[in-house]
Amino acid sequence: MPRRDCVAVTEGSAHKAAPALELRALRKAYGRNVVLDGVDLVVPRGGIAAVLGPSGGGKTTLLRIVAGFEHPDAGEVLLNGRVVAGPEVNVPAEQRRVGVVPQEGALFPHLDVAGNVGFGLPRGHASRERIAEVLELVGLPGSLRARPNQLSGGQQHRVALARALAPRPQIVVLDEPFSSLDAGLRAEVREEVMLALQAAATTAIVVTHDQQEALSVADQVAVLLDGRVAQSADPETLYNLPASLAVATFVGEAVVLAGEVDSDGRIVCALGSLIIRGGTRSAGTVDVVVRPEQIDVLAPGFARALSGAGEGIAGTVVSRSFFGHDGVVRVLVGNSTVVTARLHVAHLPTPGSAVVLRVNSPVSVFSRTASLDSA
Amino acid sequence: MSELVPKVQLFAAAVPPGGAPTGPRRRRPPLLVALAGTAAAAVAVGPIWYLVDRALERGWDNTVDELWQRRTLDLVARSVGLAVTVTAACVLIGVAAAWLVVRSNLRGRGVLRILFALPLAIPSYLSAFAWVSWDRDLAGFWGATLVLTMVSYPFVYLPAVAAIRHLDPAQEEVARSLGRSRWSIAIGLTLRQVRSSITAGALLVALYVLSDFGAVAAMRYEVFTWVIYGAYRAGFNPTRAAVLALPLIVIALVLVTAEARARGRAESARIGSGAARRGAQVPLGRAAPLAWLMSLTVLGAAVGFPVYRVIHWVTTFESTEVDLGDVSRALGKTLTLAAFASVATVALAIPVGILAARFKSATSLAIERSTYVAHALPGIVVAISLVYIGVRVLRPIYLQTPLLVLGYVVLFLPLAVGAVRSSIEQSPVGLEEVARSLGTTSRRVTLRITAPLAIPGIAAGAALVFLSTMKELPVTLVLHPTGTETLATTLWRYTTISDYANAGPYALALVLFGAIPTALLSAALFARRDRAAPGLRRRD
Amino acid sequence: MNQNPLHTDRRTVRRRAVAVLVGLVLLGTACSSDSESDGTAAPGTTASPVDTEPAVAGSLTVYSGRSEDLVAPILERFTDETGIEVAFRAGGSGELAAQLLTEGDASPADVFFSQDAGALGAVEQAGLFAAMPDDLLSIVSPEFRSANGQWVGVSGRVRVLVVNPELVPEPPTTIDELLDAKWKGKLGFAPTNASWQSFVTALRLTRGEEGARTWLEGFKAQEPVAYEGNSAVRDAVDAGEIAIGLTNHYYVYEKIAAEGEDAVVARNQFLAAGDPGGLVNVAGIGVLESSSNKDLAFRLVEFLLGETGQTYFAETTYEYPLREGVPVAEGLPALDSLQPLKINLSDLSSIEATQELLSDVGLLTL
Repeated sequence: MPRRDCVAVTEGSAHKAAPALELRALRKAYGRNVVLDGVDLVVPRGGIAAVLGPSGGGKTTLLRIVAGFEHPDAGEVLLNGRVVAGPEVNVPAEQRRVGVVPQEGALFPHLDVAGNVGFGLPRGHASRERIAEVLELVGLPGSLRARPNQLSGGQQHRVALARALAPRPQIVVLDEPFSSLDAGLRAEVREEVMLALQAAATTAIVVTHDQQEALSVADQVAVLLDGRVAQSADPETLYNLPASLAVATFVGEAVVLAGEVDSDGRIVCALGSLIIRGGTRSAGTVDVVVRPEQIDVLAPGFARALSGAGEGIAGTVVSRSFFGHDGVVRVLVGNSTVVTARLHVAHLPTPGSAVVLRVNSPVSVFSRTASLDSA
Repeated sequence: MSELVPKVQLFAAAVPPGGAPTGPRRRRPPLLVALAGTAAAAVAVGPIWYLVDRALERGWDNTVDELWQRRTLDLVARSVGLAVTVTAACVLIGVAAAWLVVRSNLRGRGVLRILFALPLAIPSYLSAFAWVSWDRDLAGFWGATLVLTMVSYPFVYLPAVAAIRHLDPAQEEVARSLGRSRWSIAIGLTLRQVRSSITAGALLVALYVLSDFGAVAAMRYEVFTWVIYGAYRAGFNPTRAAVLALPLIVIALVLVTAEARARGRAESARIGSGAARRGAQVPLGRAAPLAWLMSLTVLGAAVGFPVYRVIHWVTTFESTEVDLGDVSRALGKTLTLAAFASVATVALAIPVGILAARFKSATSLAIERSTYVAHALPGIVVAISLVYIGVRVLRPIYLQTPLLVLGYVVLFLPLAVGAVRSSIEQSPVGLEEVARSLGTTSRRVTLRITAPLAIPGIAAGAALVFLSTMKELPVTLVLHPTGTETLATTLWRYTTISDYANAGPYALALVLFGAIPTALLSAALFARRDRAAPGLRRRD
Repeated sequence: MNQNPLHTDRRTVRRRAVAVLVGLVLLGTACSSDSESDGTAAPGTTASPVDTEPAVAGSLTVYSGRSEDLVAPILERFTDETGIEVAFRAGGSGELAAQLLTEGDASPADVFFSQDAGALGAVEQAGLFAAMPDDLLSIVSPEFRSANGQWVGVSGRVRVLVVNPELVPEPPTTIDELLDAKWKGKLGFAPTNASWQSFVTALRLTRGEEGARTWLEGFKAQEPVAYEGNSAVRDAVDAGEIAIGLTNHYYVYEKIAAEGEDAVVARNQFLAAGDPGGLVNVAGIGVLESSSNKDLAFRLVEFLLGETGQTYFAETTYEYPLREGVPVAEGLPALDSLQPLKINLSDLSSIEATQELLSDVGLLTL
């Protein structure tokens, strides 16, 4: 096998400490349409990373470049410390050992489950064992002879994952893996796929436009906005300490208010004087991001009875939405500001009620110029 | 069913409109595919090389003198006029028939589906002779138009059926919810979307009309093939025939280029189409009897009448005894040759189809288009060019079966290339990408994924080549191994001496045994949906 | 390290591809050898039409513009008498001439048996024929063979008028009489038939381009009815659809032979001496210079010009035998008595100019 030695990516000992995937200043444009504009990203080994971004934001292009289906205009892709795509290098897809799980599964319709899963394996006894092993891993033992069209959508997905895992890839990439499944099936399949990925101890990258999905499945989430990674962090940090207003509004719901930093280092806005998370910001008018669940909605009398009652802001309920497990009310504060607050359904006030709003935890603040920069 | 039919093909959104991903390094086709494709193009272009060589034998001046005449202009006008008229009629009939059997609620459409493809089994010379011997006033432009339309509309009908079946009914439903009538949807939406399939079929029809001699000879309509045959038969002048064939090559190049451009546009306009469900049947209401009447008229003219005439000959002139042994020997030889021709043609068409569908580049397009040009050449030109090449380069197989099969390949390559190409285009490119990510090289992806998925198209292409080979006369007559007789050559032998009683059984055998692959072809076409990739849409 | 040897079955694939290719080649060879075994015309001889290694008595490859059904019986008798096998390739005379011209020196053919003189003339002009021995040439009178001694006529066909005596009590005897107003709409011809075009060629050769055009325009003005073949012309005359048809002489005799003299109304009217309408064309034969079996080929020519061959054509096809002393079929006037037009038959190869003239006048594609 002389051919593989020169090009195949192997886990050489020199790279044991290297991250599973590293992207450096990746650029890709289709004509004038710049899709990726200098993407930097590091994904450590063994974890599950999510690439989160709006539709048409270049997520899929990123995946295709990692998989080797496309070549970047500039920048580098490193797998386990080895450059696989760059100005001088283009390791073909078949030699990268990047497992791909496409959106729809894309099972080979002319092959049965065993044929699909074993596609990337050499023929032989060892492969048959491996096929059984990965099918077990994805929770589909014994369905070797089934044809793809006899499987449900969720099953097709798991077979596609098993197919990607079977040749023990360096990394598995999943493109919007659950978007085609209906809501009930989705959570279940997601759970199974994530368990299987963890069991396989493989590094995985999930591309998604669904922030909930990204936050719940990944160890690390990279937000791809306007062709760049706006922020890459663990889900809690991303949600609680967004790097920019754009990230804050894209990840999770946000109430954005104008405010000014006062001399005490607190922020003064329509919801009162609030504590800034992570220290003070520059002077002048800034954007304040408050999450709906940070806002307590209290009845006026109940608010007065609490200690420190003076901090509450009075408002009037404009409308409410009921979601079952919780609810949302929109409250008019002052003359024209409407804020959204999330609360338990037992306390959902009716429109027209007078309420008192109080922010229960520190908030994020972004200077306007900085926000513009990051946007 | 709903979760079995997801929506968008793998990574489709990342491919920019218009097809191939751009980038500094485009994926190269496997060497084997590239070589085989180039070989196919070389085979197809062989006759053209010969013609140019011959035409220039006496110098440019001679060529220019031969062509720079008022008569040439007349011939171009007549050939193009006939091709345009027949092609338009074929599109009309082929698409209407396809729509009727796929989307209308016409009773008996299950039978009509198969019947509509049957004219493929009728040779043009047979149909023409059946008509003109019945009423000699049919001779001329309209007679030629009638016969050529009736024998070649299936080349539009078959791809139109495939395309209409693949349409997404959701789009029609949206159009209806927007207040469009069913009829205006059928014309404005359905037909527009199947345009590229129809154009591909129309190209084959136009090229065929340019090349056909049987029908125009019987109908005495003087077009290019007529004067080219005249140059051989009456002028004993192969050089002049070569010169006269040059305008046909130019016309063919224009047509092929135009079709390729139309195809490119149509594809970029059809991103994200594709179907999960079958469209609802459109009720014809009071139009149903009219639809039946039109269907029967077409089938009667295309199949019924020629078959009736053949049976009439057999029963009217029963003076001689027909040796069924001879008929079956000729049949056996015909089927053997047709089998060889379809295997060889498809073997060369697969790499060309893969190149055209998957490795789009100026070179791959040139290779694909070059296989079409010879389709516009009259059979006798291809035959004589293979004589030229045969005695000089392929002497050991001259007047042997392999050279004859090579002639069929040259003639019928585009039939198989078109079928293979569209079949590969319809299978999602994502499958191949997944296969590559699993460590499979391009060449093996071709063997393990692309080719198996194209099997329906390959089978359809093989069936078309098989049928066309069965009917083929001029190349068979010139290149057959000495002593070999096929149904077509025997039919020719008897008709030249006006022995219709003896010719009849051969004509019947030709039609009957041509009807079998035709029926299989249309049955396969309608079964194809059920073999479609689960959870995948076709790409274009 | 090599847990995932992704390319191990590459060799398997290649092996399979090779197997398929080999299979195809074998099939191809099988087919060609198959075709040899059921060659009906000449079993055993077609095995190597390329290298014409003579068998015991030798073998000949004949390119024939004459139909196999017509020629096969007499060729079988030739084989019986001489032991020389004959491989037969049928085709149109023009197409075969084109094939011979394209093959040139490399032709596998030994003999070209043509339906008409024009095709022989074309092959002669290309210098592909071997000179005929004088003893063969001298069998046939000079007007029915090549002036250069390259080919020789085997049988003759006379252009005639087929008339319906019920409609035409006094038939015309020259082509100019056909232009009389009383025949308007009552004439029939086969515009694509080679013999008709040979007649027009003879008209061109005798009267010049303008003379021929004048006659053709007059003929066109008569609104003649076009048929797809000579048999159809004859049948139309017989049925009374038209009064007079322009055909070859043997069509009426064929019909009489098939249906009986009483059942057929139509009769031949031979044209006046020297009239271009009464052209005598021949089917003829030439031996190719490139043949390595010329001696055997000349024996075939000799056989066809012999008593047996000539009698066969006279009786089977009602054509005129060209050998002195062989009787014509019953009911035919002697060739001498017709005093036909004298032209060089090799010149009939200029049929293409004829077709252009016909097309120009509007008689080719009525």
